[in-house]
Amino acid sequence: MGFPSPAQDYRVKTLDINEHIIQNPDTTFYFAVENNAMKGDDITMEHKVAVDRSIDPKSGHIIVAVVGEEFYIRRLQYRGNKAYLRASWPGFKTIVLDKLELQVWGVVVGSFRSHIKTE
Amino acid sequence: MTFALIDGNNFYVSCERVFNPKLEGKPVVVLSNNDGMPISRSNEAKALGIKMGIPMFEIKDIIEEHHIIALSSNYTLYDEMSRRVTQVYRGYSDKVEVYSIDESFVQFDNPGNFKSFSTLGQNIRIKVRKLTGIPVCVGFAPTKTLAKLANHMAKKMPRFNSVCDISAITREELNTLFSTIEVGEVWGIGSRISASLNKAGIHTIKQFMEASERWVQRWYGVVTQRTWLELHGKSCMRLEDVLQPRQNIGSQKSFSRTVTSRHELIEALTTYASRTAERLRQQHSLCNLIEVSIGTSRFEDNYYHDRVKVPLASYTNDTRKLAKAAVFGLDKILIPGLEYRFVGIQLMNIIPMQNRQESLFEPYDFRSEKLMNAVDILNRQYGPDTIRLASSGIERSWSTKFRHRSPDYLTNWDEIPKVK
Repeated sequence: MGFPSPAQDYRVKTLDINEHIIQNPDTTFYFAVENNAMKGDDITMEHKVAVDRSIDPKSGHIIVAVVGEEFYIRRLQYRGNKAYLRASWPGFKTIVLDKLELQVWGVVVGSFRSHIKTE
Repeated sequence: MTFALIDGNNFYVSCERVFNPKLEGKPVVVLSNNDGMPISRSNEAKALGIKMGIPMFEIKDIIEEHHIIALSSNYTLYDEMSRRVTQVYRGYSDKVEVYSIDESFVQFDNPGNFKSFSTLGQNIRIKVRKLTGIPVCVGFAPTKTLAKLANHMAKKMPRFNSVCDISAITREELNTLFSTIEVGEVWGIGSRISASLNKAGIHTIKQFMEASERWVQRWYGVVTQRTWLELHGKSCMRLEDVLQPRQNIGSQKSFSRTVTSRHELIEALTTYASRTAERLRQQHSLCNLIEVSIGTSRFEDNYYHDRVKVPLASYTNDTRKLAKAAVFGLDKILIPGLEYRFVGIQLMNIIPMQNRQESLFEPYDFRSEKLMNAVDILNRQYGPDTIRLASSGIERSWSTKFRHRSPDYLTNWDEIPKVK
């Protein structure tokens, strides 16, 4: 027991990596990145991304989109009635779709990787 | 008071499609344990004539001819998706009853900020689709039984566009609809009762509702009477408190091949005993009676099956005690040399832990409680059966096969979906 801590009234939860990046765990899912298409945004093949389905996709968001039965990670830009999905590294083509054709799976809210290999 | 019954369309297949866009628009089925038969079918598979519960070997040709994709069930995935879908419902009301893995009742007093229940229903449908990827249908009605029917109509009749509010349908229109639906579709009227009703000349819901309440109660009992009342708009069933502990916990699975040796049967039985004991501990309950069952294949001649009840000296949820009793029971019904297809265990006389009284014969074993707690914590962290009885087997060649199971998208970092 002993002497109660003077900090007791100020006690809050310790820091949690999850809370820093993820706003809504119930609508957030994780993907593993397979190539360097978004390396210009510091998202590489080593990274995993957290994707939130509850966020309304806007121009400028990095999103996961379904195009022809595949998942793509690209930056979204709307212009007129078209949607442009751009990579941020050379060698990856921009995908152009009609706005109404675009199938957004979710918005990338964060990316992460480990820097230490655990065996 | 209005009940909504919301359920996922082709739920297991829909879960798979969220994480694998290659399955969209194609005939897909999800199979039962052992890949025995379809338990979920995409609309495209239904259109090809694939029915529920038909053994796979009977439809092998259709599957190959139409390139139907067959997946083993991935309950870890469906369970987690079910939880997320239910969370969306909780955003609309705190009165949610999770009825099954893909169906929930939600209670509303009024449509709230929405113009009508139909509008509310469409909002729910769109939101669930967006937040989880799962398509659902919604039925609204003043009783649970009617809500289930409304959901059925929402799903089967395109005019409702996946949302059906019974109270928005005129009496005449409802009569017409109910005269086109078989009475067996009603929740609570199973094949036996509906066959009997058919014999009495009652084939449609409308005809059933036109029978007198007393007649129904007299010939079919109070439960069916309750169904009749609910169809007439009188609510007899409350929203259930979902956290009610189960009164019966059982585990029974078929083997992927026949098992003859007592040793392997004990392995299987002990595994199931461990799992049921774990569920028992999870809901803070004890039991003092178990039932063991065993059987050969239903489709073969000389079908043998038997079951036996084994009482325990005192209430317990200790895996070792339950396993020991299970083996004791097995030996009573095991006929050596037969080719067994399933073995099962059911826990009975389940009571909450705080209700136990010390038995004259066995004082409560507190050390056992500590050991079981430690086992449960480790199993939860590292995966089921990390710590298990040696007698439940290491290799387990009899274990249910999941030949074409999709990855653990939501529970294994090495199997999360990929993006390029």
